[in-house]
Parts: sequence; structure tokens; C-alpha cells
Amino acid sequence: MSSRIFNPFEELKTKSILETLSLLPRVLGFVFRASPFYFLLSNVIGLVQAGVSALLLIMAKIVIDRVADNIGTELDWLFLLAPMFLLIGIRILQSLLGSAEGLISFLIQEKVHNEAHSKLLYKATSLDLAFYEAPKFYDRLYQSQRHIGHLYSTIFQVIYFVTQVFTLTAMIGILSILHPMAVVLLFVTISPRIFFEGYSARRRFDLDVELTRNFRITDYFRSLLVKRESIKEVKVFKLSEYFIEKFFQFRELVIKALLNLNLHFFRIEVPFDILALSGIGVLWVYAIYRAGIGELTIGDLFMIFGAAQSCRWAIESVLRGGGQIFENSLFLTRFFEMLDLDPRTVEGALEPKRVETPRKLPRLMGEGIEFRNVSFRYPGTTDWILKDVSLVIPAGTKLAIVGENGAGKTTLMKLLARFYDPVKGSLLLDGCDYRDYDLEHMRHNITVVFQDFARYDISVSDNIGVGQVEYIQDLDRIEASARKGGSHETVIGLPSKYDTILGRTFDEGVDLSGGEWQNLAISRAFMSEAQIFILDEPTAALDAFKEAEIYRRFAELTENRTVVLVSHRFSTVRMADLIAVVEDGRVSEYGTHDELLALNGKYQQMFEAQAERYR
Amino acid sequence: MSSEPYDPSELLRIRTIRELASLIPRVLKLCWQVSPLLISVLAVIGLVTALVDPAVVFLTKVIVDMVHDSQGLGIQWSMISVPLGIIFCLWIGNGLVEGVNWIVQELLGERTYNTTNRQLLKKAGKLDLAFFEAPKFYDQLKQADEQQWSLQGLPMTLFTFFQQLLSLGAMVGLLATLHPLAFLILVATVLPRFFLEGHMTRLRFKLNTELTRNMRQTNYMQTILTEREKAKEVRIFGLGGVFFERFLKFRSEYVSAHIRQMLRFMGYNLSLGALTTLGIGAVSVYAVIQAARGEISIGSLTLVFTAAERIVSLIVGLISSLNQVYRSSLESSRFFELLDIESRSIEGALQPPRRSKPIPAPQRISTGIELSSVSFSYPATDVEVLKDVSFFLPAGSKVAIVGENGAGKTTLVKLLARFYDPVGGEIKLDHTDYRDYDLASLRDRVSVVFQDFVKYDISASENIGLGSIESIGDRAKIAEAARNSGVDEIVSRLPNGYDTVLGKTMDEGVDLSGGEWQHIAIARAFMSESPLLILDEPTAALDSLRERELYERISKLAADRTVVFISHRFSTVRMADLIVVIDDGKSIEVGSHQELLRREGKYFRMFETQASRYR
Repeated sequence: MSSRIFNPFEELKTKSILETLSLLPRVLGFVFRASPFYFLLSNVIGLVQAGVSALLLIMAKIVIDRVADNIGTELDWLFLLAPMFLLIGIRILQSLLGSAEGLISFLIQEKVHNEAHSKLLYKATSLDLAFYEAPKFYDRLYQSQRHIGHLYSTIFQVIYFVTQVFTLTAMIGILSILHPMAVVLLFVTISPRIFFEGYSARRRFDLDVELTRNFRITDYFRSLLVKRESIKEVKVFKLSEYFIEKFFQFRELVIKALLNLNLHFFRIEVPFDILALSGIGVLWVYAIYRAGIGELTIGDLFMIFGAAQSCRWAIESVLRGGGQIFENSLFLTRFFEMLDLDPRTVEGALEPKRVETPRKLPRLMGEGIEFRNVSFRYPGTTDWILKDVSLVIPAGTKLAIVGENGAGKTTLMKLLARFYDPVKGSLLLDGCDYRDYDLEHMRHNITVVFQDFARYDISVSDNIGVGQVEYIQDLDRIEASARKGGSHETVIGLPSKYDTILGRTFDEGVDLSGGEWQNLAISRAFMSEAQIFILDEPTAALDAFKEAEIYRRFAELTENRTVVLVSHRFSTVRMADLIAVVEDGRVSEYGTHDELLALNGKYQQMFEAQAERYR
Repeated sequence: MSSEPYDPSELLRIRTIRELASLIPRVLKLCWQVSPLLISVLAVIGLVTALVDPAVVFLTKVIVDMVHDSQGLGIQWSMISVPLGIIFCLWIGNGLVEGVNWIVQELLGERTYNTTNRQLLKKAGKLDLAFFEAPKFYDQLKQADEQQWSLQGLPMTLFTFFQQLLSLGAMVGLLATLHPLAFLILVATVLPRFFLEGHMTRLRFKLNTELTRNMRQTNYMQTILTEREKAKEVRIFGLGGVFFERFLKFRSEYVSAHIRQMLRFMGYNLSLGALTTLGIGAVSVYAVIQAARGEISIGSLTLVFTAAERIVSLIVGLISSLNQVYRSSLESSRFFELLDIESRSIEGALQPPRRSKPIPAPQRISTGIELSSVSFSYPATDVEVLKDVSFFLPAGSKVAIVGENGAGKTTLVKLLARFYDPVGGEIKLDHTDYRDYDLASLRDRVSVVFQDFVKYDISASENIGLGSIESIGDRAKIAEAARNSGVDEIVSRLPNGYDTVLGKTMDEGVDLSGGEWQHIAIARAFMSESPLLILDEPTAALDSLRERELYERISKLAADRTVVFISHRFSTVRMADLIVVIDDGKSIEVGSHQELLRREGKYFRMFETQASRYR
């Protein structure tokens, strides 16, 4: 484990406050577009609420003055109580607004949630596989999902911020009765805090960044202890203590760092606080003085006390809110970076269209596929996985690829399915470059059973149906595919047959054995109308009978289709008409089973290693 | 393999409000355990700060009265500076205390998180595999894990709640000095609001419970679209659209259900919000009348106004912290439920030791392991996966288990590693029942390479070293295990040799091919010196040369170790001294390769099916 501090925000470090804040219009724009009406409405409510709180103070002042002026005299009840009833009316309005606010907040949140996730998911599906295989990029996706929460907080903070600005304006209006300079005094004493808020937001973010990598490693260890997939091994190898210790070592580090940061903030914050309070203090003393000499009424005094306090709260909220918005914006840069990510910037991404209107694949391939001097290495690495591979796969043939572990077989498949483009050389289909074909149409014509095929925790019929989503409702087709793939018998033994939910995500889910899952993955491929079948170790987990069954019907099942399969079981390899041996990134042998045996080369050696034990 | 229907009401039933409230002492006790000092500081701070605001309100009244009495006569600064001074001291003190409070809260939160995590992880480590394989429990574990953050926040919200309650009490007390009845009126108009709030919270919870499944489905759809493991298939089959639509459908169900509920609540809120306002209004009107009559001072009138204002905002605050407390305790109830789980409560959990002092398992196996009439079915199912399995594994023998997919082979492995106890029959190691051995020492004697082995995204040396955790730092031993298993050849090709980080979680990670990963997993088993080694399909992804080599390595290394392996490749199987054929949960044939071939039974047919293609 390297101890180099990984910093996913490296590029962010250099961003200034201004640059970060320039994101704010975008955040607001995003929220506004997600639900313009509610966003405006909630700001209007904020405005009204600010007005209401000023109005409450003024009403109270009027009542107090009237009472003070009339003590002991004949009472005019209407004169005295009318403002009082108005005051109660205003309060009821206030609580009404308060409850409407909850609903509106929810609506905004949901709209933004949908919009943000939709955008992100849409983006995620539009990205090439290279993106998923590069940790740096994949990490971004993960983080941007995590940071969607910051998007909501920003919304509410912005709305709150706006409300506080309105309140502040109203209170300043009231305070200016006392003295025009009163407002200036409050600003001078309170605004230095803005530097503190900006500073602390920055420091907090920096700490988070610093801890991210370590956090991921320790969290990874922790997750192994609670995940079903790893718990068996954790128990067998008794890893629990080890991972727990690693985790807590890191936690102690975090706590120490947080404590230090907070103590640091505390020391800085105190003088700012005292400064702010002394501003208010001066105002109070001045107001008392003016009241003493009779220039202010008792009602004025009351109103100014209230307004000065509200003013202080509002200014602090505005500053703190600003700090939080700033902090959130820092986190949100992740989210927007993800949305902005140009799929082509990922190293190893597919090349852009080279022709105006990409070709459609022929309905039936005439010649076949050719690898012409193809070399490939994975993005970010220097090792060539495929070196100058030339290989012809005639249309309609069944080709097996064999080779040792790590020879490059799976990579060859990935190029064939156009998950990557070759770094050098080209792939041709019926004589035309792969890159000139329409990607969508090409994918429609290629189906793959991966070595690490996906196990979807959805119903059996959906699990098979996803092989060709257009037919996901077509139960006849699904059953036919299940029969072809050899999983029909398993399925009819399940409690709800084709409607049975698989996997362990849902309570009613039923889990299958390794081989049964593989059969299902094969059935999935048979759903497809593709003319090119790619099978990566399709029989690894199948028992001898199931393997034989597929072997027996293979020619019939794959009629008219071009098949490329990888296998370490030579009993499966023999399904193919042609065999290519991949050795250290090169095709070293090519021909039929008999031809290759006669060659006495690598194929013969590998075949014999297994075959000798069947005699 | 549970097929128990999902029942949301069951979740509801176990968590009534009262039960949740009973959690609170438990949370506090937990915090006390975490740090008695921090929690005491927090309590004292809470108490003190709660009274600051009422005190300021009262002192303001004193100031107003002084100003009013001396109006026209000139302010007596020597007298007025006393309450004024106290107010400022209180404010500054409050600011300081709040700064400390923040630090204490954060520290306590982090420490609580550490403690809960330790408890949770320890618990998870103690629970049997049966728990991890039951969706309901697994869900609980995952939720408890995710919701630890709420537990961390719970003490803080509780304190805020009590603090606000105390403040409210003091404010109401101040108003009650006006007239004893005033107190009653306030209580009568404020209390219904809390009851209603409780009711609404319950309804909200009920709705959320009903939507649990919906949320899980939404999440699952999201996972499919963004998970690395599924990225290839999503692209080749073009599944983005289908899963995205499902995602949106689930979301819109969720949102509309919530909107319906919120609209209903808005009505409740309006009526009761108005009631509270009217109560406070009545008290204020009474105060105005009393002041006008000269019965109370102007200062008292301002006190009533300020206190009324504060009461309104305190109620709003209290309601929100009440909700917060409710939500946090609801979420943390999962955590406590998990801690309370009785390890033996689940069906299929291991049986308690049958002897008061379990025997430590022997260092080496002297005679062997005997299964007699073992039968087994997974918890909550009635399908017998194993029926009457009997065979003997002599010490030091190499035993192969063969059978069709779904015949029960992997289950047998789980019983041999004592992840489950047989439902019928018994397993004996050196003539003593498995259940009489000390579990930890028994597990110490068994090492397993699972079919779905874990690919640890850590360094190559750690990946191997995990097989014997006490030697994880012992580079010589790791290198030896690598050499013995033949994995050294893979490691030597990695950019940083043994220090290379594997997998795609870390940026610098290097991914291996399927076969290479499997080889690493095998090396892990070579690390341990346990006398029983179980390999579930160890060669599924290995090429034929490695397959042959592996067997030689195992027999050379493990001359005195008992090895059990499952395989569908008969080239691997026939190397065993003893072969056990499992068919439909029964052991139907036991013997050497030659013996079983002569019997011309199931084994013969399976072997021939594969062998015919090697001739």
C-alpha cells in the first residue's frame, strides 16, 4: 500500500474563491431550470417573511407607545388593541407561510434530485468502457454521486441566504431611525467575520481532500467485513481483527486532525465575536441615552433593541450561509465536472466518427472480420498487451482462441466488441474499418457472454430478456432462449418459474449456483439477433453434461452466426472450426484442430496437457 | 434461498414511538461510555446556554423599566449599567461556550462513531454465515452500517431538544408571572401541536416504510447503471434506456406519494399553527390591557412581546429537533437491533458447543474426516440440498468432488468448513464430532479457495499474505507461498513486484486477467499451514498448462495435508486419490478414478462425455 497522498482535487487546489464562486450561477441555474416556479415562489416567501418580521417589530412599537402615552388616562380600547389584532393576524400569516415552505422545499428537492440523477445516469451510460476501467475517472463518478447531497443543501442555503438578506435590509431600515451611521457601525464590526468564514471553509475542504485517499483504503477494508461477497474468506482467514485495526488507526488520525482544526478556528473566532458584540453594545447604549433625553420613545427603544439583535443574527447568517455556500460549491465542482466530462478525454476512449454518416452493418456479413497489424495497450500503461496481431475470422466460422492466462485473449475480445479501438493497426469488417460503422448498430450486431458476466437481481425473464431489450416482454422468445442456453430446466424448478426474482438484493430473491448463473448468461446471448457471438469462457462453471449439451447443439444454435470463443477446456474448444493460439500478445498458430496438432507447437502442448488425462 | 414474502408492516410493528423512546437512555448510556467527560461538559453547556436567552429577555425588561422611570429626568447610568453589563457578559460568555460546545460535539460525534463501528464490526465478525446469506438480516446489517451517522448525531439532537425545551419552559415561566392563567392558556394551545407532530411523524415513517422497497429498487437501478462490474454488459446489450426508465418510474411513484401526504399535513399544520398563535395573542392582549391600566410596567409589556416572539421560534425549533430525534432514533434502532441479535437466533446458525469445554482441534489430522448420513437444507427453505451423504476422507488424501450444476457440491464445502451444521447426520474429524471442537481452532485447521474468491484491491504481497494474517508482513514466507503455488512468475511481471497494488479501486492499481486472479487466490491458500485445504473449482479460469502444474504443486507441497477439490474438468479430477460423485444431494459413487470407470455409472458417463472430445 503506497502512502502517497492521493489527491483527487489536485486541480482544485489552485482555484481561487472567485473561481469557485463563479460556479454559483451554474448551481442556481441548475436549480432554477429544474423547477423555476417553485424556486421563485420560495424566494417570494422569503421576502414576505422578512417583511413580516420587520412589521411585527413596528406593530409592537406602536402598541407600546400607545400604552405608555395613555397609562392612567381614559382608555380608547380600539385605538390600543387594533394594532394588537393586526399583529396576531400577521403571525398567523407567518405560520401559514412556514407550512407552505415545507412542501415547496420538498418539491424543489425532488425536482433537483431527479434532474441531477437523470443527468448523471445519462452521462454515465454515455461513457465508454475505458472510463470505467480507469480508477481516476471512475472515482469521479462515485464522488459526484456522493456530492449530489451538496446540491440540495446549496438550494436551501441560497433560499435562506436570500431571506436573510431581505431581513437585514428591513432591519437596517428600522435602525436608521436611531442614527444613519448605526448600520455602518454594525457592518464594520461584523463583516470581518467574512474572512474567517472563507478561511474556515477552505481549510475544512482541504482536510477532506487530504484524507480522501486514506479514507478510501480504510473504508474498503471496512466494507470487506460487512459484505456478503467477502465474508466467507474473512472468516476462513480470520481477517476481522486486522481490518478493524487498520480502520481505527486511520480514524484516530481523522479525529486528531479535526480537533486541531476546530481548536484553531476557536482561537481565531473569539476576537471576531467580541468585536461584533461590541458594535451592538454601542448601539444599545446610544439608544438608551437618546431615550433618556426624551428623543426616543419607549416603543422606539424596544424596537431598536429587537432590530439590533435581528440585524446581528441576519448578518451572521448571511456570512455563515455564504461560507457554507462556498464550501458546498467546492464539493459541487465534482458534480459539474462529471456532467462536463467529454467522453473523448478519457485516454483509451473510442475515436470520434471519421465519416459524416457512419455505415450500417450488412444484414449478413459477406467476408468476415479481420485484425490487421493490431497492437494495443491499456490507457495509462506502457505494456503492449497485443502486439501486431493479424487474424482473419471468415463470416460464419466458429473460431476458438486459446492461450495461457494473461496472454491477451480477453483484450482481443474487447477490441472485437469495440469497447476499445486499437492503438495501432485496424479491425476490418467486410473490408471496412470498424471505426466507420455506426457504433449503436454494431453493438446491436455483437453479443457477448463475459467471463465475469453480470448477475442481475431482477426476475429470471428480465435476466434473459436484457440480452435484447426490445423483446424483454416477449415471453415466448425468452423461453426459447432459455431452452437454447440450457437454463429452461433450472427455471421451471424455481418457485415462480420465469417470474422468480434472483439474487439476494430482494427478500424473495432466490440464488442460483455458479453453473446455473452461467447457463442463464448464455441464454441471455441467445435472445440477441446479433450475427457475431463472443463467448469468453462460456463453459467454465458448467458440468460435463451441460457442456456436452451445448457442444452437441452448438452448430445448430449458431447457424449463420460468426462465433469467437475463448476457453481453457479443450472439450469446448473443439466446438470451433478454426483455432487461433495467442501467445504473449501475438497470434502464434492458426488453423483447424487437426492442423494445429500436426504442427506440434503450443496448441499441441496445451491440448496434450489436458488430453493425456482423459486416456 | 428464502422465499418469504416481503412484509413492510413487520418493520412498522417493531418500532412504535414508545419503543423508540426507550432507545434514548441506551444512546445516552453509549455516549457516557464513549466519554463521560465530554457528555458532562455537553450537559452543563446545554443547561447554561438554555437560560441565557430568558435571562437577557428579563434584563431587557429591567432596562426598559429604568429608562421609562427616568424619562425626562436623565438616565442614571450607574444603575442601568448593571443589567446592561450583565447582558453583554452573558453574550460574550455564550459565544465562548458555544465555540467550546461545537468542538465537544464534533469530538463526541467522532468518538461515538468509532465506538459504534467497533461494536458493529465485532458483531458482524461473530455472526454465522447463515446471517449473511439471509436477505433480511443482510439488509439489516447494511442499514445499521449506513445509519451509524445518525447515531452519531443523535446525542447532539437530543441535547438541542432538551436545551430548547428548557428555554421554552423558562420563557413560558416568564409569561406566567403575568397571570397564572396565562401559563395554562399557553400550554393548552401549544401542546396539541406536539401531539399532532408526533402523529404526523408516525405517518411519515409509515409511508417511508411502505416505500422501502421502492427505494431499494431505485437504488438498484442506479447501481446497475453506474457499477463498473456491469458496465460492459450495459453497453453491449444497450441496457441504459431500460434501466433508466425503470429508475424514473420508481422515483415518480415515490414523489407523488410524498406530495399527497405533505398536502394533507399542510392542512393540519395550518389549523394548529393558528391555535398556538391565538394562545400567544390572547396572553399579549391581556398584557396590553394590564399595562394600560397601570397594573404592570411597560418593561413587563416589552417582556411579553419579546417572550412571545421567542416562544414562536422555539416551538418551530423544537418541532424540527423533535423530528430529527425521531428520525435519528428510528435509524439508529437498526443498529441496536443488530447488536441485540442473538447469534443463534437465526435458523441455520451453528449449534452451541455441546460440551462445556470444547476441545481444540488437532494440529494435524491423524485418521481423517468422516461424513455419515449428512443431510442439509438452507434456512427457511424446505428443499433438501444434501440428502444422506456419507463418505470418508482419509488423512493426507486428495479428494475430488464431482457432480452436475446445482447438485450440492458448494454446500458440502460450506459444511466441511463449518459455516453451517448439518441438519441430519454428522461430520467427524478424527472420530470426534465437528460440533465438539472449539470453532476458532477448527477454522484454523481449514483453508478454502472459494469459487467466488475475493479480489482484494491491495498490494500483491498483501493479497497473498492475507491467507495467514499473522505473517502478512513476512515477505520471505509470502515469496515462498508464491513460489510454491507458481504465482511468483505473475508477480515478477508486475511493475512493482510484490508491492504492486492490484485491482481498479486505487489509481495506481494494476488489473489482472481472470486466470491470474484465480492463481493469486490459490497462493493465498498456500500461505496457510492448515491440514485441510478445500478448493472450489480452483482451475476454472486456469489455462491447461497451469492446471497440470497446479496439481503437481499441490501433491508435492501437501503430501501430509488433506485436500478436497471440486472441479468440472476431469483432467483435474482424475488426479485425485478418491472421487466422490454427488448427484441430487446424495453421494452416489465413491472410489478411485479407475474403480469408478469400471462401475460404468454416473462418473463414467460424465468422464466419457468430456473425454470423447479429447480423442
